[in-house]
Amino acid sequence: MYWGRKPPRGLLKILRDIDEPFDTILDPFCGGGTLIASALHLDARVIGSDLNPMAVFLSKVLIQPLNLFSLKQAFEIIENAVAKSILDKYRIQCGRCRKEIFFEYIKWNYQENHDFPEEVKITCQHCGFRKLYPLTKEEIKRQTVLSQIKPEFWFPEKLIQAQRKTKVSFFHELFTGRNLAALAELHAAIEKIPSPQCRDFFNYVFTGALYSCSQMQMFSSKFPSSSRGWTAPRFYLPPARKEKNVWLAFNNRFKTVIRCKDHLNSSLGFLKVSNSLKDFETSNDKAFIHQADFLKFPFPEKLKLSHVLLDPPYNDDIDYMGFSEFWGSWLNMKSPVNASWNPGKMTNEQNAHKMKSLLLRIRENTDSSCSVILAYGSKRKDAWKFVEDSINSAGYKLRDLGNIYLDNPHKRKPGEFTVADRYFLLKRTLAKARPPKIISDKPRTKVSKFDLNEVHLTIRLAAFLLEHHKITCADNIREKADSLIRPRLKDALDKVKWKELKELVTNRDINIKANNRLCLTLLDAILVKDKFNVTQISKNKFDDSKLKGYFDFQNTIQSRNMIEGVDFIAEDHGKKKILFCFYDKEKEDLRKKIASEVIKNDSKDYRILHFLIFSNNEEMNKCRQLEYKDNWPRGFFVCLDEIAGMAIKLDQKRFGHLTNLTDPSVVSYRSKLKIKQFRAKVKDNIPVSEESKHYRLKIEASELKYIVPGQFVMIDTLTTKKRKQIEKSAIPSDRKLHSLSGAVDLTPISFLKRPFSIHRGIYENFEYKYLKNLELPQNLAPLSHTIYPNRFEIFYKVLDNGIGTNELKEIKKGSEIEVLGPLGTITDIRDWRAEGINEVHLIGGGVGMAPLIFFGQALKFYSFKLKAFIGIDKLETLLFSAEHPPTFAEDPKNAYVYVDNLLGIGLALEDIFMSSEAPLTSNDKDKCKLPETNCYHGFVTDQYKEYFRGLNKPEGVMIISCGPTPMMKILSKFASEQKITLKVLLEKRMACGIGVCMSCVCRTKKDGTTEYSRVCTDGPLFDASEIEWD
Amino acid sequence: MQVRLNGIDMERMQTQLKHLKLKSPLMTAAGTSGHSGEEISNLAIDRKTLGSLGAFVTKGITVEPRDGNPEFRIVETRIGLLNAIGLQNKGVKFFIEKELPGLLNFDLPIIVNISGNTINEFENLSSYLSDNDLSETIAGIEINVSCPNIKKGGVAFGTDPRLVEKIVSTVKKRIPPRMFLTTKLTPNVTDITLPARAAIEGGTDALSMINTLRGMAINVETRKPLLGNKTGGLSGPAIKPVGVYMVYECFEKINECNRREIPIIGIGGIATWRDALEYIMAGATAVAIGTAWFVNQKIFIDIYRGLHNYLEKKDRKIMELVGKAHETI
Repeated sequence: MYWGRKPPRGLLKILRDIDEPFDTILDPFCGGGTLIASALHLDARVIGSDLNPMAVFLSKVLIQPLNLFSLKQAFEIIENAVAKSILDKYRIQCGRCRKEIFFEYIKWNYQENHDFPEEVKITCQHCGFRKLYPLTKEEIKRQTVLSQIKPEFWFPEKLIQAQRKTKVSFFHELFTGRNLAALAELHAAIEKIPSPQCRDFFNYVFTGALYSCSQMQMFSSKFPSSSRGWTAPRFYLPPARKEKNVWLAFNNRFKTVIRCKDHLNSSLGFLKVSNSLKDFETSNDKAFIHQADFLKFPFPEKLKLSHVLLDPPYNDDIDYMGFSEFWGSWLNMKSPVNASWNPGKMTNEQNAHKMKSLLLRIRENTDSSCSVILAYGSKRKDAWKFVEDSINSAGYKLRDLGNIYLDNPHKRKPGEFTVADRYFLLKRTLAKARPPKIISDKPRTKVSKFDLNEVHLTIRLAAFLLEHHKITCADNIREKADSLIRPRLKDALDKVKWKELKELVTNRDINIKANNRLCLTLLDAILVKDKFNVTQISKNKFDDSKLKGYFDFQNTIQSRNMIEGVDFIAEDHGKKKILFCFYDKEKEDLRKKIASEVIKNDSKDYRILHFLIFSNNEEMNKCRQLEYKDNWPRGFFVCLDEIAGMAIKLDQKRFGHLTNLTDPSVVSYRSKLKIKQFRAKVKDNIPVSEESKHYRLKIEASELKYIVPGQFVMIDTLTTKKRKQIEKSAIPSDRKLHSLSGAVDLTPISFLKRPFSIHRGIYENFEYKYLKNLELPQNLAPLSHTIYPNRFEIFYKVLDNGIGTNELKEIKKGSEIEVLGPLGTITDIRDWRAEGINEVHLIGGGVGMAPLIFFGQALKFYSFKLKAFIGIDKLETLLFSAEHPPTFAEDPKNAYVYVDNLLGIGLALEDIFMSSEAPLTSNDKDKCKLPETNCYHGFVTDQYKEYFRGLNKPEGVMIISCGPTPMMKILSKFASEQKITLKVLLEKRMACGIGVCMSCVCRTKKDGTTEYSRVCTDGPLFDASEIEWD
Repeated sequence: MQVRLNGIDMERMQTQLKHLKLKSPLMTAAGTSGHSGEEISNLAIDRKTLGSLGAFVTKGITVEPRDGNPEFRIVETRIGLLNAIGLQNKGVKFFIEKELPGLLNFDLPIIVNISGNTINEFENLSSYLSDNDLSETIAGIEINVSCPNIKKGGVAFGTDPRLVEKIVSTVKKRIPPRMFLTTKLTPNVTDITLPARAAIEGGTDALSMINTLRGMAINVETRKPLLGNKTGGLSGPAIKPVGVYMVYECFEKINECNRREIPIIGIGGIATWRDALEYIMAGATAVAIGTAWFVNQKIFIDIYRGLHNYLEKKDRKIMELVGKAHETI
């Protein structure tokens, strides 16, 4: 649509790489508005200006948020008004079925001094015939006549004033008569749209289609279907050209633009655009765009600019102003006469002078904190020297930000990129004077072979790290290597020549070495705290004798496999071994062998852990699917991205030398996932003991694999089969009325789904109680993953008058139920470690303990210390919510299932506490096996208070609690007194579970005001301090 | 030209509410789909859901933020739901700035449900919305004069025809002509045609009926009302016959409806495509689905498919079936 548009994605990356807060940005050469949109996306305020009215128009429309529905409606209006009559102009007979259709384009050719239509491209609307074929003689005559019709509506009659002209002198002569007539008609229809915003939008689309509808659209026999952009920088009528069907071109353009709008709408949202600079300065409006000459217009007085985006036209041959007339003439735009920037005619010196004056003007009008982002792109190779010179002399320092790339339009070679522009950040220097060049004059020293290896490795490492940015410039690599290398070797590094550097970067051996080195360094940083020693297994110098005594399991794991298949070993003074292998598809069999050997030798103790290292998150998650469970029995997965992130985090606290080792953008491992409604198979549904009211429901649901503690599901308490029967019986029919005899079944049935939290996730590749022995190194644990779970257990209590739970308990093994999930916010438990938490106390009242087991599972996996308090209090539950019948207190043995489960996830008996309102008999105590001191007669809150006060300076403790409100209220008070973090898991009546019904609310405090928050979408895990308990 | 997408004949499903063309007769009912559409976007089936909808009606908004009623807010009944949410929302300013942008990409006409304690509030609200409707996102406004769960306004307005007329005409004056105006009526009256006629007099473009029926539930253990607001509104399949009757009554008795000048949006207890058809045959041009959506998140897709299959089988268009039940004998 406009000359020199840049890909927004690359631009965004450049802006993000600058890594400075964007406050207010000035873009004095806004052009097509890509920079403005990108800056707005980063939440900056933008002033845009351009001398060219067309550019201002385009930028304004680009950022204007528009409702897709009203656009489509307006399009329909245009379609109804003109589509038929425009398409009529392009009638032709189908080459196969002979029906009247309209063509896609006609290829014109210029031969022997006259133009004639040569071939036609059709896609038949009736028979689907699709071909480009030569026209018959009659058709040539007919189409020639047709193409010369006179327009019935207004069209611009303007003289072309561009520097280079072709044989035509008027803009309208760039079109065939037929296309001009069609465009004029279309333009008239667009002008009739009532809403000004929609009108602007369609004019935007219209101008976008103009070029491809003109005779400048070249026909290329190599790519007959491609519609090329305006590549020749002048008005040029090629001999072989296309006459496109205007309506189809407009329609296609509309579809493309609406897709962009969809994207922009969601990235920009509503933004207010000011009408004047004054408005912009005084209000909170996000943007202001005006037409102005940069060298003359006033800078904002009251606002401080944080950045200026400078993308002026360089001395290319593009006459922006002249070309814009091509579009602008249709929109009645007046181009400023005597455009002050007419680059095509300038010499490099003049251009540099202009550049300097621009920068000086910026320097004059902004303060020192304002930096300039400069985009540079020119076909003239000698121009850069002058530009650089003018930058330095204007008192700015350069920082290279890298290139942005355009996709190669024809994709001749996949992955081939063409460079569009290079970006620089200009920082203001204090002095205006040019800094003198420093000439190094150091004596040469000899470098040993060992050191040289080190240098080579470092260079490769640097290149490896920079690969993310697609920067392969020698200077960058050298700079990066410089920051990594030991000071002693700096001189040696300086000596490496560019040619050598290039070879090193592509050398495969060094490549592997560098990769291993990087991984080793990172693993070491992670495991050093747990006193693990990480060694790389060398494949070349294999020596059996060396292994003896080093690996005490060398007899059991075949050493050959070990050497081939394992890349690193971490060991902890003989107690534990961790094997790390890079994931490699070719060596899959070997890895499997190792995995099975590990299990054979270490079935229960988890003394040998088998880790697979993946290069990125995506690849890892692919292998975590259930179908791979046989490949990696009991295997753990880590990915390099996360390892790097963790290593840097840890290292910052200690030395800080790893900081420049990796890309800072560490991928977060769980993004928000969409809620699914699906059918789950019931695997089991039995009471915990005979005549118990507590049931365990086991479901198979791989859709829930991403669920984390603190989330929940909604379950239909009737099986899908039964629900369907009921729905069917509700359909009225005549026959049913007659057969209605006897009593109607009036037992109440459930209408809504019920919310349940997960009691336990079941991992296929780990046997039950595996967590008891598993202990991952503290810093490695948060990075470790296993195969996703696919079965889940839900623990529920049947209420006497509860419709839902009474239905649920009737569900038999093997039937299907409807489930909605995962619901609720995602809490990343691993973040707690960063907050200084290392011990978690789980306090559950009654069935409230059930979801805490799921928490316990995850916490144990991530190596948190755990204590659990089970309250089986009768009174508290009875007093405040009369709907709940008596709980465990009537039969304490039901609560032992918790003790079992807690032992299963690896808690010791001493870590489990239980209190009961009804005194526990000695028989009970024997059965639950808990030590005498851990049993308490009274409220769990009292027991906990007593326990906590007995602790010696507890640090890094957090409580997670779930149970009756009064219990959590007392705990909340206690927690705020003792200044411990308390998280509470709330349960409420819910209708929808997805946040629309607003029925599951709780009162929360925020910034001094209280409001109702939705438990389902804002929780259900809350910080107790947020909640208004009264 | 016949448009078919994924085997769906779009033309069959098209319907028209005055100047507002809908691609499907299904709409969300006010108060059951949130303000910002975020909740729909969170679903895995968001695109399909939006594809089967004809319009999106937001949850009710007021001038000032409202906290809503205390707990409990819902009670499940046999085949329905008693609710007393109490119009919880963060006020019109927040709505325009934070919530409305979420609806920009829905590719649906957005109808904003408005509510107020006084006529003045309706006036302010509608002028605020029409003045701040950046890029014309709001396609229509639904006046809520029927909420049973607020102390002032709501159902108190809806039962008084004179007040209904006054509110509708006030709002009508404030909004630009391109905005579509519908009035949501309460079933808690002896004769539905009275407030309906009053709304038409006031200048409404369409009628939405019905809102919830008043109801309550008591806990026999504590001997207290279950709902925090004591009374609530009943929705769900239980109230469908009432809704169908009221649509039928209006279509029969009111000439403007009969002549199809004032379309009716049928709401109340729709849970299957048969229910939707019942409403359409009773005289509704479009239908809105609320409570059933809480139960089954696939409901819009299911009903859309069901309706389409029915129309395909009978070779009809949805517009041809409107008010069909009146042509019996």
